[in-house]
Amino acid sequence: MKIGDGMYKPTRRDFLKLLGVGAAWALLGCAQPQKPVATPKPTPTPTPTPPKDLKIGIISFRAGPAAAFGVPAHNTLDYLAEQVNAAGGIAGAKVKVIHEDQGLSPSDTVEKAKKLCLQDKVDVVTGIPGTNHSLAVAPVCDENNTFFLQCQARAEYGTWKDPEDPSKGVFDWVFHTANSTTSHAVQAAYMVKELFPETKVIAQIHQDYAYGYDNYNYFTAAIKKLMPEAELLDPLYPKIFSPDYTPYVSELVDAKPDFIFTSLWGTDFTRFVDQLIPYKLLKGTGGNTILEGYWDFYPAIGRDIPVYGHPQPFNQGSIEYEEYRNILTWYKKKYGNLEMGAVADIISAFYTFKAAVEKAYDEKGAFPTRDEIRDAMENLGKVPTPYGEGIMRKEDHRVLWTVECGVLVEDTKGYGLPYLYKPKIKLEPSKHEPPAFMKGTDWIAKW
Amino acid sequence: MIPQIINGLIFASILFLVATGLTIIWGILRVVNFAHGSFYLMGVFIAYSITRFSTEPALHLAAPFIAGAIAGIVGIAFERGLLKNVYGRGELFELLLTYGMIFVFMDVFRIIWGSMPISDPTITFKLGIISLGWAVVPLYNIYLIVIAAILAALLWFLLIRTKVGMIIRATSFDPEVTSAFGVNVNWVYALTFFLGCFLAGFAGGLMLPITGAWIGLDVDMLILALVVLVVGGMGSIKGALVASLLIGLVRSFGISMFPAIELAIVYLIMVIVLIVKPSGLFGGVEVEG
Amino acid sequence: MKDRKIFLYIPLVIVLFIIPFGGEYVTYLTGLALVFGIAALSLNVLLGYTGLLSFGHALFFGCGAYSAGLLIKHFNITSLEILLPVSIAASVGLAVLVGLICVRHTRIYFTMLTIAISQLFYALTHKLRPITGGDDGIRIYSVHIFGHEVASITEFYYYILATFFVSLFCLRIILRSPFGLTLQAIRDSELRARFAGVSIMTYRLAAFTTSGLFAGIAGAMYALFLGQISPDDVLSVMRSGEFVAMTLLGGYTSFIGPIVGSFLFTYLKAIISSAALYWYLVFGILIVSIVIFVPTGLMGEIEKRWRIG
Repeated sequence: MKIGDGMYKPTRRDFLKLLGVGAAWALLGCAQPQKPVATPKPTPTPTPTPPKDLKIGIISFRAGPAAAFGVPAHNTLDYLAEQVNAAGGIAGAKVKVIHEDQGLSPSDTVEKAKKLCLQDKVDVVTGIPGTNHSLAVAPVCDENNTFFLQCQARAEYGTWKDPEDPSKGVFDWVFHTANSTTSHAVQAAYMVKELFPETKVIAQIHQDYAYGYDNYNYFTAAIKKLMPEAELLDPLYPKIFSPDYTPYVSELVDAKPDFIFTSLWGTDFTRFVDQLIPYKLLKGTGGNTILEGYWDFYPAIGRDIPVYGHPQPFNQGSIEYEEYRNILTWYKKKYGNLEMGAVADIISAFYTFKAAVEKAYDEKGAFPTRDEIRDAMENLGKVPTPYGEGIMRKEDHRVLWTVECGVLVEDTKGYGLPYLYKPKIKLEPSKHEPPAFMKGTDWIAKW
Repeated sequence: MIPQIINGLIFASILFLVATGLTIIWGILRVVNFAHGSFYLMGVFIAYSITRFSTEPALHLAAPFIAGAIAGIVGIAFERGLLKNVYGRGELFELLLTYGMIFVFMDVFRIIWGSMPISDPTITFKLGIISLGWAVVPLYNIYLIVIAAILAALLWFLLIRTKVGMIIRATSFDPEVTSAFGVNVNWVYALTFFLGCFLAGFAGGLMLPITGAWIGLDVDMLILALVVLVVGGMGSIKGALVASLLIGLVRSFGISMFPAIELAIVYLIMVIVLIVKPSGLFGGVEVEG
Repeated sequence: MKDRKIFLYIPLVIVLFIIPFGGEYVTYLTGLALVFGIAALSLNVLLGYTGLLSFGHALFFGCGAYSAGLLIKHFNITSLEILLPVSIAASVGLAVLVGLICVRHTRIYFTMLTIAISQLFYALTHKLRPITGGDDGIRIYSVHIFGHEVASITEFYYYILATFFVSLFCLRIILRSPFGLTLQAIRDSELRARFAGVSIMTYRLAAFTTSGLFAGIAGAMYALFLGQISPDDVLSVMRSGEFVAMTLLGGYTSFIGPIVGSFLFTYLKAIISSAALYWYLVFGILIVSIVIFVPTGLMGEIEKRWRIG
């Protein structure tokens, strides 16, 4: 079901669409007579595409167990669009956000993505937590020449045409702007080694889908390299979005590990910790994504767990950056709680797109076509964001970040936000991200 | 080992409360209430609203009872206002009506309590943990099991030893004859629905500190309660008790022993029971064919 | 009377043929509605004609979908002309097995048993990750038909349309045949049918199998059309419930009722949920009102009035 790449074949429908667009413009013109008319539009360039709206479609959970991760993504995108529009838009074009609720099955999400591509004709699809959902949506967007900026799903192979076969290359329209699963697992492994070197027994609990299994494989491989003497218990794989972790908690209580590595996210994570805390098992142990929970939740953890692991919110930057801090402070003020991971993810996608449009605009001197934006995005190099710069890796369409991980404590700088506490570890992309077209396990095997 | 048993018992207690409600409603009204999971979810949400007022442990312990009572009243309204209209049209329509209500409740909850998942483990933290031999267990978990057991005993007492119970049982046996003896059958139906929904809402309230709630939990709970209902035998409270314990413990131990197919084992038990004894373990109802 | 009715359907058929001119999204939605229409029709063989309510019909829908998906995933077979027959064979096989267990029961016991068995397969599909891909499901990259790659939604839409008409035609013949009439006789009075020497179990099993067969076709076409399947999508009890709801909306007493229901359901869902309104609330209220006020569904009501008028 692949339509010839990049080849533009005008069809009857396109003609109708043009007519429609023309009619809409005419109507808009009539409907806004009170506007101070400054419309003798100078058209100097030979092909002047008028700056139209840039449409960004976001699919993320708005209800249900993963809403804690999805709702902040929706809210953040709205906020970023508002800010940019107030400042004149991206290269003069206003940003319009279209929201879709994500379903619990990947196929549901595919239906939503088809709607965004075919019906709303968005320029960008973003959001979509869940590696399995993200993998399912990638070919849909690519077929429709629509950007798919993966930011809430992690797989480093998310941009590949075939997750099993890197030789087939990447999708033209799929980019990945956040850290990979490998990065998460490797950061956690470094933390165990450097911050908790006395660790002997490590337990793992992951959701039973792609992200969970990847985390297990990568973390296990990394620990075997970094701490060959540590004992790794068999992993537990609860069903994703399942309510009751008590049986898993009892398994962990029986096993008495020194360290629990978990990749649970959203409500699954907070419920798991809720159910684990009363057993006092967490004293002196840590877990990977422990900071993916609500901000509200930290005080509850704080009393019982002196130590926790690598902070998702800081994956892509630090709150030392004022602009980033402003976004977070705004969010916390407006919505009461703060899922920093989701906010940071959406920022990465939004600013990657913004940078690409602006670069293409500068090069052309006029508003670029979608194909031109795509080329610009591929050759972006540095990606400026409110939390520092990422690097676009052209080969596999991934943005790489320098990360900091460590033990998180509450507000130490008076920002009203969680802050990284020393000791912390700073990792360059080469330390925590695999090279292009290589999965975590293959890369770690070469360490 | 001991934590696994305790956890199995917690799960069994909750299942028992929800499934007993379902089985009582089936026994008296001959309706499988597909919206029963929604009453459970309603219980969690209401308990959450109640516990917003204070962190006082007494309030947190009382919340499930209040939540259950409110769920019961909504249950009466549902039975009198909607379900009553389709009595006599066959179980198909009663079933489909309650099925439709799942969705109505889902969005009503969303409108009232928002889309974000909720939980409140305050009471678990406040009560702390106790040591049972060599295992430590949160005290709240023990409380939950005990209170469910007490409720089961009270229910048995109500149905077997009181006049109200006698009327309820008589209605389940033959509504027409009961009504001929001057009993207002409508009143019995409403009371039954109150009782069933109270149990579901109460169970939900009890689980607030452990699992919390989100949209979608209703259907998960409904399916598990249906499993208990058919395994135990429809209409049998004794069956619900045995089946809840069976499913609860199998699930709890399944996770440590056969983690790969833990979920499937529960359904496998259900299918096997239905093939071998279609009326369930304790079902007295004759099945055709 | 009968002939006149057929002419009335001609404009509808024409509309279905020219749907792709309405844009890709409309084509896509209509394709889905047609696939669900086949599934709902197959469900109605049990509900409307045999009087058995299956709340686990997604099992056969999912069986069709996963048969196709697994062939693609493990054997890299992407030809529709192989996938569809295999899906049909698998669904029929499964339907016979499950039917042998289920048709001994009626009423609520039948319904519960169908839920139980479909949930068993749902859980197995979920847990047997190395084979089925677990929660990640199966992604389908491309579909071929006689060596030619299906290039667009529109092209595949016409294959679905063809499948739809063939299924519709076959089901119509089956249900109008003595077999179909016997089913209805059993539904109306089991006792009378038994006295007439009808082997009730055999007939019910045959109805169950027929129903599974067409649900399997629908499932296979759905998987290939969407390009992605997962257990929650094709095997869950919620999906089974949707088939029941479609049948109910359109009317289980009418032959084409389930199709009307599937179109109503698919379009309403798309319109309401994209308008960010409360789709579930509308859906729930719709079901409740239909059950209370128009139990025979939309087409049932229309056909009733038609006959009276």
